[in-house]
Amino acid sequence: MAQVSNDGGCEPNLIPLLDLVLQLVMFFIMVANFAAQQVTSDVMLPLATSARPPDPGETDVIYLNLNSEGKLMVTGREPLQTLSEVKYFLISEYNTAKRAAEQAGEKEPKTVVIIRADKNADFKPVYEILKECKGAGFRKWQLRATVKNK
Amino acid sequence: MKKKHKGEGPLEVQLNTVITPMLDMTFQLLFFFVLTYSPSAAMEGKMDFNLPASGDYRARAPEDVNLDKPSDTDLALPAQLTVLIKTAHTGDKSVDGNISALVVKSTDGETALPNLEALENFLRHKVKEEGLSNKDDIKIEAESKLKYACVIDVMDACLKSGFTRVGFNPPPDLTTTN
Repeated sequence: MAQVSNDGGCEPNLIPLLDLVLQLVMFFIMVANFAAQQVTSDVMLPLATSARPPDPGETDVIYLNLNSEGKLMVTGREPLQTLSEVKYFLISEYNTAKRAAEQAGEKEPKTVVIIRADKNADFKPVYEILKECKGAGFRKWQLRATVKNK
Repeated sequence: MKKKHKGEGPLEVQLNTVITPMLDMTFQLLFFFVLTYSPSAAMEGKMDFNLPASGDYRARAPEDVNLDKPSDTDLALPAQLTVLIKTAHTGDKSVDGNISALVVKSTDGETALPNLEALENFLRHKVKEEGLSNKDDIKIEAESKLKYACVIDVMDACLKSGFTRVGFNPPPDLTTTN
């Protein structure tokens, strides 16, 4: 990575180095961004006029994406097929959140469960997941919808 | 950057603008923003949604069960009004899952409403009435096969009419079959 100039001196060629660094920076930014969002574009949210912009300060969140078949999609895993799988997943998530809260000196986790269900999904799986969330111990919920102009 | 040394004079440095890395960076940034831009995420909003507080105690033995206390997984609020949403079961995919009937249940009886607009007006009228002591909570009782979008439509109507907290009853068709 060095060029010999006309006067016989050597100067480093920074262009490939910069390329590589920028590629790496972009890769890590994108990975961090998608992992933090945990959202999927496969879910078509319903429309609602009373939906309000989400609070950007809420960082302790768990996204539950339900596809049109009512299956719970979790980042980096296959969709959860049975209710017992959902139950196990939610309990393990709650236990993780509770351990983190206890380490931070809090009694209960302040994790907000954000439910992003597809507009064509049946109400039954949504209700069952709400019920299992509550059974697992979560106490804060949000439903997500696309903001509809009045 | 080039260095020229002319005879015994001072070292002359010639600066050239190197555009290539800047262009590289610009394209990288452009590519990043194109990939991460999501108009649907920008339009995404949260819905006010509350569930009742859990029971004070969980039964650790059968004899500890107190039937007077709400179950810990109960999603219903102590509301005076319940909106029952029924759906069609015709086998026609274009019809099934949509709202076929809207009924508001209260202590006064049941009131059938033709559409969401009528529901919103009815609930708004109820909120203004003096007879309703709990003007914050309302329950939704939707059939299990109803599309989630229809539930959100009804929830939207409830919130717009003045109620601040919406809870869910178990789907009536599930409680009767189970």
